[in-house]
Amino acid sequence: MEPILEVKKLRKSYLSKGKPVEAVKGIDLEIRRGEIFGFLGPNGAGKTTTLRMLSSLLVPDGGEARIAGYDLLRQPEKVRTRIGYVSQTGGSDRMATARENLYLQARLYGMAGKSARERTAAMIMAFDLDEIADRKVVTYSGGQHRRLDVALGMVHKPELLFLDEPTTGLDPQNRSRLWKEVWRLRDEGVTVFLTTHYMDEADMLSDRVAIMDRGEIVAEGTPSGLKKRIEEDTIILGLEKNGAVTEQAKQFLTGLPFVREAVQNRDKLLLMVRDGETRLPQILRLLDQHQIGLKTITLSQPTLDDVFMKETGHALHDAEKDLNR
Amino acid sequence: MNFLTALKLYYGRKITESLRNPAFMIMTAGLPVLYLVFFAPLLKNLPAGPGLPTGGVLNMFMPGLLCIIAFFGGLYVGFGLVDEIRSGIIERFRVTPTSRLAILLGPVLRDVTAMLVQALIITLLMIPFGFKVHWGGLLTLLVLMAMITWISASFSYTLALKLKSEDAIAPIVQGISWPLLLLAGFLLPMSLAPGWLQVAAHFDPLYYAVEAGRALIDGDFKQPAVWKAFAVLIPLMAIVSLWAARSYRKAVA
Repeated sequence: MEPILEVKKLRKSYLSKGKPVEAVKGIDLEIRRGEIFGFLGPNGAGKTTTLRMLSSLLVPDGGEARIAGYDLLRQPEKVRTRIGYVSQTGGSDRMATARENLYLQARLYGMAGKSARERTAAMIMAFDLDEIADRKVVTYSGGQHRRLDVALGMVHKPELLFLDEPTTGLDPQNRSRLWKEVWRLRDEGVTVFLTTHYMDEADMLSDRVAIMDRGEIVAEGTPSGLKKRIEEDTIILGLEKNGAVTEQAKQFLTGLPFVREAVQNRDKLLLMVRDGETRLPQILRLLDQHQIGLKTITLSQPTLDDVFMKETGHALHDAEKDLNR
Repeated sequence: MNFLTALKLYYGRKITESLRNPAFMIMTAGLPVLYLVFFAPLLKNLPAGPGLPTGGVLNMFMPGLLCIIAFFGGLYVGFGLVDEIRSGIIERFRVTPTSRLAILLGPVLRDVTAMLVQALIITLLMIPFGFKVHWGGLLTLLVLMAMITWISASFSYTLALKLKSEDAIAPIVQGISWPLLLLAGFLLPMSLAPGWLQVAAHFDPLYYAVEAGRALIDGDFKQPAVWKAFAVLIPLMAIVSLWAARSYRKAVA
């Protein structure tokens, strides 16, 4: 089946303080129908610029994009009827009610009075807005506001929905509620393309992710597939306070074939281990044999943070700091 | 979607918003009353002097007053747009399959509507103070005024779209408003001015509107000032509209 979105060599630069900045450096992307695609990267990586180009808000400097069977550059009107776009700020009219916002949106997508009213009522039910539908948006809580924003993006039943940082600024409860909303949309057959700078969110929410850094896509795949590329797990041993014993433990553990690296920090010992889960019992037995007392033990498997670190050579949070400098 | 349907929707949205905003309604209806109370009484006692027309004094001041209303009616509207850009409303409209020109012109037409309401209120209020209306002339003047508001509003919105900040728009709008108003001779006719000032006035589009207004208000269509005003404002309207349309099509809102 033809992918719902296919992008080749898409690029965009703009002037910042008189100097050209390459925000998006010729990226390729492919999104399959019905998947949730997470676009991950630090602030300023070029995610929003990419999203704006794909939703026809911004004209690319070069490259091609086909969305829902139409050429983005040659037939933007056709593309617009088939995509929904929810920006970071949402874009609802705060001095109007949810019902008025949804009704106008339905009319703007060409629905006549009666069908626009019906669709508005259906969206109010689907996004659980019925209690507040006739109140001005300015009185809404963050979570209610966001639900309306997503509802506005869905009024015309788009095949592909773009969500730019949909959970930024939401509390954990509303965040997980929005995740459920996104899963529900996927179950209804909508393809969702969302950006986020939260690693755990990309991991939990998406079927596939692309990691973007400094205008380039540095990794792409399923979250578990990407994490498998990081071969080592981390085991942290908290030992009884005894310098000599810790040193001894470090020496014999480093000698084991499956331990790639061991780092000692006071009474803590950090091991980089392949297949950590299966090696853990073995390590415990060995420590017992050497009569080394163990206080705590932690096994951590790779996260998308590690993937980002491996692909870019710097941590996600460092990347954000770089940009703020 | 067809252009006129989209225009109707965007215009309707702004009109509803205005009708619901008490501050906007009070300003729209209250401003003419303010002019009447604070300004008209001064004219009553003004003796006829050199340079002043022989007709009613109000008939000389009214065109200038109406031109201020038309000019200011559009000039500051960009400030409201900055807020809409910030909250993402304009971006949301720009991804719908509606004409981007309609997104601009809906609000512009609201501004023209509000200005015309003000102009009618002030005209009617001035009649008891001795203002003699020539209805054909007034109608033609209202067309000129609608063009002025259209131009200043389109300019202001486009400026807002490009600069996206109240702080950046303010000095530009302030910087052009007073020189243009003063050069237009909106209080006293420019015929009283020294030669160099009269030359400068000819670079001010508002000057032509005010001059035409003084002829039209008495129903004197034959004066060259009337066709000159249209000859200046029509091309200017076309240029500003094209610039605005282009910016709305390409803008990164």
